Amino acid sequence: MKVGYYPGCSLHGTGKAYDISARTAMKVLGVMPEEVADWSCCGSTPAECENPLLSTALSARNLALAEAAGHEFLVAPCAACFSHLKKAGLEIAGNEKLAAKIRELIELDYQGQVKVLNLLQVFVDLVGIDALRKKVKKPLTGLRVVTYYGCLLVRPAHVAGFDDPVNPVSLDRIMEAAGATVLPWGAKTDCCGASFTMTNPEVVAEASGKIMLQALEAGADLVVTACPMCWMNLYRGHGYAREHFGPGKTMPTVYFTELLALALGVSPRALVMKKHLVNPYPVLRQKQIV
Amino acid sequence: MKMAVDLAREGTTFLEQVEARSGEKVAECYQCGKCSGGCPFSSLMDIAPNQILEMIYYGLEEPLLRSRAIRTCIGCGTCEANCPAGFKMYRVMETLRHLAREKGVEPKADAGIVSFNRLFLDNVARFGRLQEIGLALEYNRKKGQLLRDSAMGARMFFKGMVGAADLFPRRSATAAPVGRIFRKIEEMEGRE
Ligand code: SF4
Ligand code: SF4
Repeated sequence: MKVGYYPGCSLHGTGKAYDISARTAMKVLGVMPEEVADWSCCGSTPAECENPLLSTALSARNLALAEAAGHEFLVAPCAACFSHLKKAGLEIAGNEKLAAKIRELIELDYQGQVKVLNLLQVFVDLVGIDALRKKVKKPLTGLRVVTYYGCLLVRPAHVAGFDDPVNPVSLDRIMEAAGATVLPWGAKTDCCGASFTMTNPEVVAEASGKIMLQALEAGADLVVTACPMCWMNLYRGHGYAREHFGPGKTMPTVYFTELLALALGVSPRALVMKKHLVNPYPVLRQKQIV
Repeated sequence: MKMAVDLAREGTTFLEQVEARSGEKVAECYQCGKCSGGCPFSSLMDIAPNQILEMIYYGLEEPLLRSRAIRTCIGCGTCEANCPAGFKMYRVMETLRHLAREKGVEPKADAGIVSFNRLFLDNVARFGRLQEIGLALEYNRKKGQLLRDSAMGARMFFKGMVGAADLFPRRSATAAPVGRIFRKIEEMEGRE
């Protein structure tokens, strides 16, 4: 099946590894992502904070483009894009006055027909865990992971409208179906520091550093994430964890789609895992996954 | 306080106004403080989330609208998950930001959050899609901290996560319609 695909600004920049692996894993499972032509920035937290109308309009423009292209689903791999696109749709629904204003601003028709999905929903709901499991060629046997969801994928609950806001399980199910061992831990939905990465890096380093520490205590080989901003912030957390808890106290963070693609038999060369700031190859080699 | 007079003329108290717009019953908060304990950013806030609710209750409008706290909330919803009453603190924060905007109340000195937001939006208005690296360089230049993050930047560069092309901002085909959204909103708000 075809779905609309909204990469968002990060996936065209620092989140390339997520973009490549997400598209690859979807295609192997028969979901064809079609990038929305002329998509624009969702405005993210700054638009939301500065001007609510701007925030809704910037996101709605992308919903309207996906709708015009005839898509039933619009997939947004970045947790923040997912949250903002979905929130805009919810705000416009049933508010004709706002809808008219938005149409005037974006110069496009918008009827509220397109459903926004995050990437976890693609694998859990569109593909289905059983169908996914059947396509696994190289199970991630012996790989111990902790799944990190962060905030915006599951919260605020009325926006995300999916899984549990405090103890979500969809990413766990995907990783288990791919053959990995998913360890219990307490930082699944702790916040990584989000958009404060530029303005208050020390706050981000501390928030993410504590997440890394919990991953270490859980005995994981890797942290698995589903958001480019979380990925970047967890890297700041590596430095913090090393400084506060001694050398060697860190571990790689990878995108769940990278591990999934490997399990589906995709060659590591087709991905760009070497580009990670903390190299995951040593542990993947040790587990004979690459 | 001028604003309080304006509100009185409208026949509603600050508390009633915030409750009506946010849809949250501020007066019913237990003041247990769990929202503030769980909020990942309370250390950055000048007023803790539970105190904000208390100040609304007592009608302390001006310090609230000027506060850094309301501009620090990113809407992560941790407070709601922690609150025994399921209170949506971020809705209240959002309402306070909207009121501040409508009344033209500027924030008092912030920790770079507001200026970063505005640089971010300028970047989007110009290019249609955010040019992450350009924004990072511009923010650090404005703050006079050119070398901050240079180690992380260099690592990303050498690892190939960031290429030379990322240093030169590109205007996408999307820049024109996005620029018009910004301009039309300014006009709309001028009209109102
Ligand atoms: S939604 Fe806002 S107030 Fe609530 S925990 Fe998150 S940042 Fe704090
Ligand atoms: S957690 Fe809920 S009840 Fe407790 S202080 Fe915060 S908003 Fe009030």
